[in-house]
Amino acid sequence: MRSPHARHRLDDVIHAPVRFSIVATLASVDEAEFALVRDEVEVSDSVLSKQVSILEQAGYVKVRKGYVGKRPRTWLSLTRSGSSAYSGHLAALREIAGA
Amino acid sequence: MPNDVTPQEAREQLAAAEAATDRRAGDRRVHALATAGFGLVIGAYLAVSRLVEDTSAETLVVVCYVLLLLGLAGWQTREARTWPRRARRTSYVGLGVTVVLFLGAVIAFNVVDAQQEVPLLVLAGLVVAAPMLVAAALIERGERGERR
Repeated sequence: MRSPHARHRLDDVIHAPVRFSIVATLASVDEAEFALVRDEVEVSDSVLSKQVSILEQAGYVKVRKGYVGKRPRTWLSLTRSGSSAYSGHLAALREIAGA
Repeated sequence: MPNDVTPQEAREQLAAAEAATDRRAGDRRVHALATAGFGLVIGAYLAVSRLVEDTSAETLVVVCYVLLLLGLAGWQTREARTWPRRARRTSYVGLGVTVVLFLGAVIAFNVVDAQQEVPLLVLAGLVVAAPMLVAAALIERGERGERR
């Protein structure tokens, strides 16, 4: 029996372009500031907030709030489940790219 | 839709993912410098605090020690916008071993009633700082390791 095509293993949550960029940025770090992710992904605060909420609901991203001095800061990180989903997504992309 | 991904699009997404992992060199350097700095400050404090024990400079040394640690922590927090992968764990492991060695040295200095000469104190300070210096090197090197 043939195994299903790699496209079926692409993660629907991560596949959206902005969310893919967010997850790709977070994949190389333990934690990143919200503002840095916003700048790297080149989106507005509100767009990033919305996309992060979707990733958070999927259990892929963890949001931590704190302060640096008196300034409030938000940090984002990939959860273990998010990291695993991203690895699976990349593996599927590699398979498609090599097809 | 995911089902519409062509091989070319997949290659472009993989290239974008690769590019996103290669931008954290500056933050690695900040965390490496801060980790090395913490180790050296703790090691120096161990040595200097023994030299000024029971003198009027004792309080000044403690104040300088605390201010240096707070200053380093503040600089690290302000300058770095990310914790690169595994950098925090490496730094904490280095700090943990340094603290254990520091406590061991303090106990040894109190138990062993020997003349504490400057070379011995400098050596003890370096030994205490060593785990954090190694951690700093590992954090800095992680940058190149991940690129391979």
